[in-house]
Amino acid sequence: MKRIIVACGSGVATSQTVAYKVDALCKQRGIRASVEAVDIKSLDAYLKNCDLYISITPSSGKKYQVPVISGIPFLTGVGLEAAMDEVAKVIQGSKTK
Amino acid sequence: MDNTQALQLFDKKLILLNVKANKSEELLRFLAKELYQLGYVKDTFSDALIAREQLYPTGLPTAEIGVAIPHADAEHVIKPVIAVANLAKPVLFKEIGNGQRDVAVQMVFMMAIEGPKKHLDLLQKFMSIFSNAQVLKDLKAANTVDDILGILLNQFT
Repeated sequence: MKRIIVACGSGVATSQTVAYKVDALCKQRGIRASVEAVDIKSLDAYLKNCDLYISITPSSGKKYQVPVISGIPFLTGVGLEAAMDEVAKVIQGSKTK
Repeated sequence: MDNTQALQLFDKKLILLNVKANKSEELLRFLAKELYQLGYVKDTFSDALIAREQLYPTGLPTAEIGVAIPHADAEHVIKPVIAVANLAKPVLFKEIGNGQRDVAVQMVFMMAIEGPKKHLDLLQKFMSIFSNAQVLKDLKAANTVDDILGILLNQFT
């Protein structure tokens, strides 16, 4: 199963909201992946074992070993289709773990 | 969903119209003070809110209007509430997830939440308004506290 993680700086439901939305849209599109909201403090541990990271925090300029896309379209609906295309591309193109 | 549950997340005294501020920090301090005076947050909330906003900005450029969703960690919260401020004129916030770009914010939803797990369903429903251009437009145009509350509660039914 492909794994998508979502993290925000808040812990006030932003990442949970985005994760919920991404999960629903993946199901709609027939993309098979687990979507999980994670605590930013334990992000590094999760990054070792996922296929895509959806970020809702300002970039620290850090390079990640997995593809990273912005979670903002899932909050505002602006650019949502393009963001989902990106998710589809990454998930369907990545090796199953 | 039951409306009464959602109703508890708002307080008519914390739905503020025609709020005037020049800078985001001034605005955040003003709103934090209102929350503090009504017993929703501790006196540490204001500083925590501003520190967090600098680290993780919350300006959200939606399709219709710019909004901001400032918040602080649960430890500064006594009782959960979402305060709503309709601004007299836009105030600049930094963009969420970006931190560089400015967002001209017209409405602020300040969230004092004890822990997302507890209110996850409600918060998800609430956050869905940010992808609903019509609802945001209606909220921005609303002239009374009751109108705003009515529009918000409608999202939970």
